[in-house]
Amino acid sequence: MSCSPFDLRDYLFGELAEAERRQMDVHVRSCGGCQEELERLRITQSALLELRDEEVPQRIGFVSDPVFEPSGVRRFWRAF
Amino acid sequence: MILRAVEDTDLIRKARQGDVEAYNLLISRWEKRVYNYLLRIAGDREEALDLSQDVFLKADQNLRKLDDPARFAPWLFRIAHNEAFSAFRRRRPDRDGGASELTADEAAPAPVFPIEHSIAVKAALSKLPEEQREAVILKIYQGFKFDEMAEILSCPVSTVKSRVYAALDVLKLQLAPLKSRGVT
Repeated sequence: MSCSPFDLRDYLFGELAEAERRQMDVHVRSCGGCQEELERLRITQSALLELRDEEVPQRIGFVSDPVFEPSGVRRFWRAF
Repeated sequence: MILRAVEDTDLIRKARQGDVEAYNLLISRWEKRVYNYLLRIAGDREEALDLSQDVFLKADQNLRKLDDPARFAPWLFRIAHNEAFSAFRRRRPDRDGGASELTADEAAPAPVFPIEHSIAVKAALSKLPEEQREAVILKIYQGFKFDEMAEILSCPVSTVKSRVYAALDVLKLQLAPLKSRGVT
């Protein structure tokens, strides 16, 4: 990984500037070690993304709702 | 994404002028993301829902203090972060920051027998120290940039990056071998 001109994780996350990203594109194409490391990072990211978002079990109170105020539990704890 | 940001900015402008419907629409756009962020760090649906309610109340009360409406997302998640950890401190004074620090070398490899990925992922996340887990949630699940995460967590970008990277080192050992063995 140390042979890479920029951090592979920054590359994976799209955190590099355009010129840096292009430099990494070229490097990764020619470096087996970095290809392998990048693949492991992508597998890790994709495994994590298998935990899907849940739907909100009930809608969040709107400003116009008469009960748009801190929850009962929250008010109780704030009393202390 | 850009269109969405523009529309959010417009809703914020209207909400600041007292347009209740605009703020309601803003809630309906962001409630799922905020709820899932809170659910992943709190680990409890009811608590996540309570916290979400309080986050949107606080956001409504403070919307005029938002300096740059284009930075609404990190601003909203900063409120969510602060609300959550204030609640954790009040409700669970013995909360120790999550799992003890694990280095990549100490992390046990994931089991190779076929279990559902989601269970393996939940287990791997739960073993991370709290700060690293939250950094992964903001980066992987919420897709924030490092500078936005620094804003949300009120810490330097270098700190945010080191948390994400340390977590990835551990998660990679646990999750990458699991997937590459073709366990589905």
